[in-house]
This record gives sequence, C-alpha cells and structure tokens, in this order.
Amino acid sequence: MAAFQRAYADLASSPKLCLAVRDDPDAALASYDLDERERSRLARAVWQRGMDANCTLYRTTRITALNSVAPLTLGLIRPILRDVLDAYWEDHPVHEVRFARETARFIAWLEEHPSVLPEPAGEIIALARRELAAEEMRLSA
Amino acid sequence: MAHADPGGDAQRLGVGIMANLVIAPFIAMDGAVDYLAVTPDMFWIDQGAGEGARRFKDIPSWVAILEASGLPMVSHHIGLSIASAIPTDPGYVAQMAAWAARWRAQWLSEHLAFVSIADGHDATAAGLALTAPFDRDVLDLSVERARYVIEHTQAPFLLENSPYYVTFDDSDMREAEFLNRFCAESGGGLLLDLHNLYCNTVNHGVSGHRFLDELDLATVVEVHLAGGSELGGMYADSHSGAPPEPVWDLLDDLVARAPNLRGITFEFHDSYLPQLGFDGTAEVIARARRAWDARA
Repeated sequence: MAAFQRAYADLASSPKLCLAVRDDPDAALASYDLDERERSRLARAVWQRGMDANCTLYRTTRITALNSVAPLTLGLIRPILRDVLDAYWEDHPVHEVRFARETARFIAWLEEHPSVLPEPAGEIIALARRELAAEEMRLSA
Repeated sequence: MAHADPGGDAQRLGVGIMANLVIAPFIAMDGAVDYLAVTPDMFWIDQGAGEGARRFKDIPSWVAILEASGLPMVSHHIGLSIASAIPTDPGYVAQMAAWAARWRAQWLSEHLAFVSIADGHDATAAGLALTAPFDRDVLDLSVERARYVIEHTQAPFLLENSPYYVTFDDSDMREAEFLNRFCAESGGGLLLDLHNLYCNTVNHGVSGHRFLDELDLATVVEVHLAGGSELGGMYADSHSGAPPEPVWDLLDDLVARAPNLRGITFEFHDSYLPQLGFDGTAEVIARARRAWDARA
C-alpha cells in the first residue's frame, strides 16, 4: 500500500509522469514496488479526467504556499512563472507544508539558478528575501 | 444497523461556521453562529518531530480569534492523514489531545484521505489530499488509527467523507459500506460533508440521496455545507461561496433521518468573502438554522 500511495502522489504531482504511464505503464511504474492490482489501477487512473484535476490541485497547493509568503515576487515574474516553477518542482518534487520553509527553499534554489530570472535577478531575489523576512517576523510576533 | 451514539456526551450545538482569517468581525455579532469549527493546524506551526516539546508553536494572531469568540468549539484536523500507510505520529495525536483539552472541543474530526506518504523510514507530504481505494486494508488502517485517537484524546472522533476526482472501480467495497464499517469497528462517527458528496454526484454520477439511503445515518454527528466551482472539466470543493440548491436538498433529506446530528457547519474560503459578503454568510446560516429546526 505504501508504494501505491507513493506512486499515486507522484502521478498527482507530475503531468509528465502521467503521460509516461499512458505511453508505457510497465516502464514508467517499474521503480515502484507495486502488485499487479495496484499497477493496473494506476495505469487506468492516468486516463481519467480526475487525474488532470489532481495535477491542477497539486500545483495550486504549491503555488499557494509561495504566493502566501512572497506575492510581490511571484507577481513580478508572472510572465515566466510557469517555467520557473516547473524547473523548481522538477528539482524539489516533495512539497514542504510549512509555507515559510517552502519559500526559503525556493529562494535558495533561485540563488543557485539565477539565470531562470530576468535581470536584475539579484534584486528580485532580494525582494523575495524581504518578503520572507516579513513573514518570519509576523509568525514570531 | 444500530450503533451507540458516536457523539457521546457532546452538546447539540446548532449551526456553526469554519474559522478563517476574515471571520472574526462576523462571529463577533451577537448570535451570528452557535459554534466555531476550527482547523487547529492553521493555528499553529508544526516545526517537525525533531523539535520535541517545542514542536508545535501557536500563531498568536490566529489564536486571538478563539480567545475572543467565547463560542463552543469543534476541532477539524487536516494533518492526521488517517489513510496513510505510515506509522501513526504520536506527537501529532498528543497535540490533537492537548488542543481539544485547551479549548474544550466537543469533538474532533479528520478527512478520509492521505496527505503523507512513506519516504524510506520517514514520511513526507503528498502535496494534496488523495482518497485511497475503499479497500479492506485501508479500512483496517483507518480504524486502527481512529481507535488510537479516541483512546488518547478521550473525545468523540468523526471521519469526513472526501471528494474524489479519480475513481477505483475495483475497490473492495462501496464508499457508504466503507464508512458504515469504519463507524461500527472504530467507535467513531461521521462528519458528512454534503458538498463533498455533491461533488461526487456531479463528477461520477453518484446519486446523493441513494448514498444517504445506504449510510447508517445514526452515525452522522456533524454536517458540512459549502460551495464549489469548475476545475478542468470537473466540479471541485473550492469553498467558493453559498451551497448550491442540491446540497440544501440533501440537507433537508438528511436532518429528518439523522437522530444524533449535533451541528451543521458552513465553510467558505476567506478569499471569496468579497463575493459572498457577511450578508450572504448570514443568509446561509439562517437557511441552515431553518433546516436544523426542522430536524426529527
């Protein structure tokens, strides 16, 4: 059951994995220790409209965390936000439920990948840091 | 089927509202609601199991809402992850108990879903609440975890039916049978979310009233009402405003047949307040009170 839940959650977080399972379920699910019933269930599930809804909900949840703490930064990079977040989620597929920690991790990732941002990238990252500092101050008040 | 009342000694509260960031001015009005439903996880920061006794830290601005309200309270959790194939988190359950005792919660509840997944010997967040198949092994896991919560909190415990977007047609049992067995085997009751049920009727062609026929309605202690919206061709439980008419029809059907019902809770997401308004909120509460007054 643990492997099934892991695979199901990974599918909900990754439209790319869903497409891979549609294309070749045996290969795409090979890394999960699934029994035949579980494998068959997931191979069918990726064709359901509901899996698309799960993927959308997952992305909404993750964006909410960042947008709650750093809305000005996200607004500033709105034209490229989708590409930036796709790249960030590719590197960090596991959701951090604590919003401030998720934002701190995102900022650290931006510092490692400043080329994903337009110029002046350093100032955009500094804005994100100021928003995070304000959130941390609010939480500790 | 006949069960003991899963609500135990809890009061019959009436009509309440789910606490959110904007609700304080509304509940401050005399008689606005009869009780407050609270998601405790929004009122604290969980700093992780490694923090020991300092793990859970109040968020003062949120806790102030409870201190000011003076209303009876019920706890509605989102972090137990009752259907997860991971060990129960004793620190989280201890916090559930401490919170319930501190605010004298009439009962506690959690969703039938998993939000945590195994990651080696640890657990990690799934990123959203997912509904597991209605299988015997999921039922056994959920029953065991509910019993643990009841033992350690000494409070009534309710399981909420979830909206699900993916279906597993080869589940061991139907959803209603799963919920009935959960109550019979755990000693817990049901928080019947009529909007979640409505989502499933829209998305999967389930008959809501037939679903009520299949449920042991003596297990229903609390009802949730909400509104929703379209999401990629499906209907989502987005808490976006007043409940749609079919949800009110389900409520009217239910209250006449749920002898142990103790509360009807309206929940909306605070970002939708500009559309709903406090007047709209009051209208929902008034209509729910008419249904409450008509109960058997």
